[in-house]
Amino acid sequence: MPTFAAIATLAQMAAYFHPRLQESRRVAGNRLRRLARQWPQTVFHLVAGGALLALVGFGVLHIDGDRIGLVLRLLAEQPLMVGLAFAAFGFAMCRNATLDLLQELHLGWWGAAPVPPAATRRSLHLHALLQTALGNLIVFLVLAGIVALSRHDASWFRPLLAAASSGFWLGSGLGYVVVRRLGRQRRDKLVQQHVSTPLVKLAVLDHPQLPHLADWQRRETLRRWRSGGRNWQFLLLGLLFPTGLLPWQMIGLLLLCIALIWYGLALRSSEDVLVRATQLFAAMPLPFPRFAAGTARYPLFAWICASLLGATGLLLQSAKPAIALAFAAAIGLGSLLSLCLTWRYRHRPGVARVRASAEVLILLLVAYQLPPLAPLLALGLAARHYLVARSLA
Amino acid sequence: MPALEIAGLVHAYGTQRVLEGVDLRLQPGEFAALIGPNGSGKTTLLRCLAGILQPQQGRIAIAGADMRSDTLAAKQRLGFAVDPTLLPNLLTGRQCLELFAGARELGAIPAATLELAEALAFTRWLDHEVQAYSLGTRQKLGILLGLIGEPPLIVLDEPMNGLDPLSAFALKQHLVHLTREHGCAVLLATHALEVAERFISRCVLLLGGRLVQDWDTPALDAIRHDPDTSLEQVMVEALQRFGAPRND
Ligand SMILES: Nc1ncnc2c1ncn2[C@@H]1O[C@H](COP(=O)(O)OP(=O)(O)O)[C@@H](O)[C@H]1O
Ligand SMILES: [Mg+2]
Repeated sequence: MPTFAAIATLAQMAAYFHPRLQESRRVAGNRLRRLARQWPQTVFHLVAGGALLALVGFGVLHIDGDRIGLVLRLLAEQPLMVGLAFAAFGFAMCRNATLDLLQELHLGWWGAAPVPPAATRRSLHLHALLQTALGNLIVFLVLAGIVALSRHDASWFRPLLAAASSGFWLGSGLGYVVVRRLGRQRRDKLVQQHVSTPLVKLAVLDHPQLPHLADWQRRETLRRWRSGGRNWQFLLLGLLFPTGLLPWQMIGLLLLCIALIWYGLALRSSEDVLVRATQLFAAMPLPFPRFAAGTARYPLFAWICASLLGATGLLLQSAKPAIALAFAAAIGLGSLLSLCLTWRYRHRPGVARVRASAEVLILLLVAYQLPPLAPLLALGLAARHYLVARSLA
Repeated sequence: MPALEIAGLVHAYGTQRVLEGVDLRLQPGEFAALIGPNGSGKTTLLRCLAGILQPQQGRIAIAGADMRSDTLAAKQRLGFAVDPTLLPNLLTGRQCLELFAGARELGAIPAATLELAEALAFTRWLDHEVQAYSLGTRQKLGILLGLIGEPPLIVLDEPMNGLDPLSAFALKQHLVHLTREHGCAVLLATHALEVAERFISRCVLLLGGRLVQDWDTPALDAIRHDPDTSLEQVMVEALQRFGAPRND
């Protein structure tokens, strides 16, 4: 009898929310079943992931937790700033997530299905609530992790958590309300459009036989940049930005960080476009070296810009020119490795990303122990990946 | 009560006006084809009347329920074939059908749906994930989802795309059966004129944002029985008479 009651409650629950919720549940179930079916691969991933995690944990244990704690204590003395920053973060997160879900419910495959408006409303509430709770949990875990690392003083923990959490929930709630009001007025306003047209045309970037490929990468970068794809990194920057710097030092640090954030986005977009272009050109008689040359132009250009900007930033902070050069070389080698991996795994981009993280981690360890060996190793790995990529055809 | 009533429907994407006052009324049991060249706004019209797009002006009622003021009731009386590109890749066909049956409060997948799946040679795909489907198989699943529960109005957008001749024939027969035996009204959009032959009881031509011509059953029968002409020829002539679609 109790099972019948449970089933009845389940059915009521199902009617209480949008069927999209059940869809997610079934998708998750299918994923788990597939993982169980392909168990050798799953076991391998678990072991590899565990090893990587252990490596990261090992690195984290060597971080000076006390120094981060000091920064956070300074931050905790300005609760309003922290609250505002997290409010902005929560607003952006909840607004975008709710907008995406609303768009999917209205324009996706559920668009014409008869779903009671109240069920849709409740599902949107639930989604925003879970999203915010999860975000808050992550903030809590990061701060608690720092408490565990800093062995002395943790008095900053509670005020900082309180300021961050309250700001986060307030911002998130506001973001939710804004989207719901927008959706009630006119549904077509829900479709987010971000212009990807660059302000300045750069025809020199185009490969003579493969025109518009560089432009495609550039537009993808611009679209993501303008739609706020890296806002969370700016938030982090704002949070961790040290006070008490001289003005030009501050400008220098800002330049360096913006260069890095932008370059990260440009590289990532270029690689994603590269993967999509591979699918587009699948049936074209296109020699790989030409494809590689066509897709490397924009990242190369981005690297030059980021190096110049970053090096200027470093020099402004009165770093030695050698350091600025080393900075440019380091990000150049790192992104060369990542790009070669993406060429090699252009049919399986997920593998490229995992391997790139793992190899960069290893390179960092090598650079820590035997500095001169690291660049050689990086070049060797990149060359190997390129050769394999070329042999794939 | 008409199965579908559209009056003065206007829809624009931004500043581009696609529908400029569409009026249409379908009675139960009618099998109507909506024809028009590419880009004439057939998909836009169907998405408006399925409640997916919000038109700027005009009234839509599905079997008496107003789409704007009584959306739930209107959508309950409407079956809309899902666009094959929108299907969720990670679900199996059966799971998709179960979800839609649940949304229509049917408890389980109706036997009629499973029978149609058999007729469309879809049964062997039921327990595969959608990502493994070919275009035609996706199209079949989208149609099955639209027909589930046999609502009073059934709307299909280019349903024959990617279907093999056997499946296309089975689908047309099933639609005819639905209109004759269950009194459903069917509205089927297509740019391929030959699809509309034989089975339909009515045909409307969308051009320049308006329904410019309407052939009823006697008119269609007259054309079919005239040895000197064909439906295709008449429709091509109508397209030529009204000129190319306006691009404003
Ligand atoms: N999402 C959209 N945004 C802007 N314009 C659109 C959009 N969808 C369709 N259109 C335009 O509306 C017109 C009608 O399109 P559509 O309804 O898809 O035509 P059909 O289905 O008859 O081929 C076309 O000119 C098309 O370019
Ligand atoms: Mg269309």
